Amino acid sequence: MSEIDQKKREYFKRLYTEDPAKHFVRVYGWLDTAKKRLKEIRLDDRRRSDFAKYFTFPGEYAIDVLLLAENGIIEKTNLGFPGVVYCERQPDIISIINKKLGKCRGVFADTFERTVWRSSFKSYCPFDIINLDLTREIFPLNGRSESNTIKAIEQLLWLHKNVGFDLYLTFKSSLKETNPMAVKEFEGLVEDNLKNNATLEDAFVKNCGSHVKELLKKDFTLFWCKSFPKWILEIGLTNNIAGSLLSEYVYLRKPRFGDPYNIITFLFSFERKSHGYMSKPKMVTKTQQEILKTFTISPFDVDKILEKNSKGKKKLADDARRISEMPPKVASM
Amino acid sequence: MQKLKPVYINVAASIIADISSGIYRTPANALKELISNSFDVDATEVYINTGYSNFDIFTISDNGRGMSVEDFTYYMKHIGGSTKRVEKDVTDLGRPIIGKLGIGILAVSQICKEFTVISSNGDGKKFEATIDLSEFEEIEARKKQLGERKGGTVTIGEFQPFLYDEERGKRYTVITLNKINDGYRVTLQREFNLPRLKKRVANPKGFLDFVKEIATAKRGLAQFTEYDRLIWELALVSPAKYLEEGPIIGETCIPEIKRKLDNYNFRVIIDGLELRKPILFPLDEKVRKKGSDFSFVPVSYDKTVKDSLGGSRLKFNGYIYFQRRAIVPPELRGVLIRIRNVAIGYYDKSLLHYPLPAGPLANQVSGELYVEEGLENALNIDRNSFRETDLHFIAVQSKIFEILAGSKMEARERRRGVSEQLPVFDMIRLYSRQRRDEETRLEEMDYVRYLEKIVSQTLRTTFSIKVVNEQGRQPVEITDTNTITIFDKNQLWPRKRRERNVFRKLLIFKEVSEGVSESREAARSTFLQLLNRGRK
Repeated sequence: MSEIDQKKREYFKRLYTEDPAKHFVRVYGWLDTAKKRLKEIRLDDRRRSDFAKYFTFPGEYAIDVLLLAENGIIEKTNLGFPGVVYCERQPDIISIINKKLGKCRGVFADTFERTVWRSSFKSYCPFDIINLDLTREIFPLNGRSESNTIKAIEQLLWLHKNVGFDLYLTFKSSLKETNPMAVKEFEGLVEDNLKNNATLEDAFVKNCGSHVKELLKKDFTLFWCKSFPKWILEIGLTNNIAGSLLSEYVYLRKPRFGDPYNIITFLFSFERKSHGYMSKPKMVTKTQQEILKTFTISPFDVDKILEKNSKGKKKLADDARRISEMPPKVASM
Repeated sequence: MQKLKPVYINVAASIIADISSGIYRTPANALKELISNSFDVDATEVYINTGYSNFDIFTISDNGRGMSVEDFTYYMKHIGGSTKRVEKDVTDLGRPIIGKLGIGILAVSQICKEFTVISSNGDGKKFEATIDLSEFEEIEARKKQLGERKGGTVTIGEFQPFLYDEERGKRYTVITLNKINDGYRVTLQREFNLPRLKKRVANPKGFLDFVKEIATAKRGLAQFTEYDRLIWELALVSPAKYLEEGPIIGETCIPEIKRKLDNYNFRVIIDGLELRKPILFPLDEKVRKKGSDFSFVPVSYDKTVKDSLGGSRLKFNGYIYFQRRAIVPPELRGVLIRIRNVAIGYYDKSLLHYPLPAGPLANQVSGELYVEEGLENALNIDRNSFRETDLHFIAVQSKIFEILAGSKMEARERRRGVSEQLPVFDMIRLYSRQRRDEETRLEEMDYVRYLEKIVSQTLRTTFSIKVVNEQGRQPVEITDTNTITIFDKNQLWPRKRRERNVFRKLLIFKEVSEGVSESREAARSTFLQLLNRGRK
């Protein structure tokens, strides 16, 4: 094997298993939010002793699953994780995940974009926590402007109408690698939307310091941070679920090959219907308030936080490594 | 990544008709072939994941020697022409090589329409090849191909291997079965909505738990889902180890075989559950004591079976277990033959076509035979059944029949008192008879205690009833003050238990009332009082 290939492999392994920024988001973002969600689930008398039902793309090391299980958010048995459903396109990666996780509630050997449209997927819904860790652009350069990922997210929200759940969404923010047509379309959509609502437009300008177009040119990542949650919450509204953005995280990745790019993680929460029926106008008002809030929320700059705390950084990297090296799940005798 | 030249998949024409007609009858049987392949390449761990519960994809990964792309290309070009056993008979770890025909890989054609093989043999390269089996599936295409070629090979498709870099020294093979056949998936997903049907074995703590749950269900595997059946059957047919206490609790019945299996160090893990042989006797609560409830006969055979060419060696070991009640689960009833540690089909309930009607006795026998040498030529292509006219098979049959029913000579010796050794069927009959007699005795004792109580309560004094195994002058006598003796061997007692009890009751009441009363009238009154109390 060439030296370059070996280095590339090691780089990717480090990226997934030892990246403190990524693990920071896992621990302080996903885990913290998941704990709250679990409390919420157990308020329901019928689910007093339930664990969260979890949908994810766990990747080779399935750190998120192992972390949540270790903290009692999702169920762990001798055989595996009966509350976890995952999808993965690459068969060899599936075999590694399978070995690691044992028996799960469901496995889809397909892309997320295709999985959500499958009738068998519906039978697993609703989930309590949906973790869409895309690790690529939401509008890939070689993809269509009408992103399949966006459509899949819409479908996912439709499948969860009238139920409460958390949505963790992560994707890559790189202007160079994003389909310009799609960005333009998305920008137009946001702009048109803001034009129809003076309050929202004012709030956007006030909090972002510029209009959509200017922001896009100035700071592509911030553009996503400010515009994407609005889009998600509005889709929620069309599906009768009032959502809110809990927090957003941004960190930089400097790949050995290619240009640096940012990773953005959004944590959304959608309220369940049993909290009381909310009339459509009420829901519209609430969503508008939440959208206004999203403009004021500044994303956590994970790199900055970790820069000041080298001890914590090391601890996070060690923890990620520890979890990634957990032995496979086997119930013997 | 390096894209290599496309490779044509060729299958020996002589076997294509057999393969295409569906030789692997159950889901487990097809997967068994892949496990056997892993065993043959000295893997110590095989992880199988069924993609439970939607069964979208099956993955089988092992840590065996792996293959180079050249090896794989060769296999695919010569399906049905394996040279594994020609080169050597045992693997580097000393395991007997299972594969003989080289058709194992096509077992997957009954599970999926496409499969991917990724493998590395430690030379710093790994290859990936996806094989589309849809062409192979099409009946018309098959017919056409069969018509084209009578001998040699038939091309059933092509694939494109890709070569990638891999860490040097890393050896593994990953097979993923994609596009699972709908029928196969539905079968595994099916949970019958019928009364008395258990849903599934939910989260067993380990394999022992799994086995116990199935063994305690009266109808055995029939009560469980197809998924549970898949796990159970895979455990049965694969060269996995026994449970620590298996196959017979508290007995060392096949120590040599157990030791060999332990030394192979071969683990099969399916959906997080490590498989062991699901054979553990006795798990029935009413079968506890060796020698009166259950027992076993060790089987050992090592002879040359003579034929027109001189003869060939047949060697096998094993055991025949039997108990006085029917064996549960029913799937363990019969005889299972393993060749090179792999089960050939499942338990043969006909006891290798035992010629006489064995009736319920056949349900009380379970045996395993490990064939070390011979019998392989009797195997049909599906590796699930035998050619019954094969001389080795006939020899195995004879040995088993002899163990089950004994030979004429043995019977003669027993009659003459030279031998006391009983064959299995006679032992089962004896156990059942002993048990029945014991149960009758206990019931009779209970009845005697009941009569004792009635007499004591009516006469307001303590009476005891004694049963002696003698003929006596009378069937019942008051032998001592307040002691009634029943002479059990007296000819007056009817043979039927119910009638005997009535007789006993009446005679005891008569004797007692006459014994304690001074006048005939008083005796009559006491007799009626006793009858009245003992009416129930």
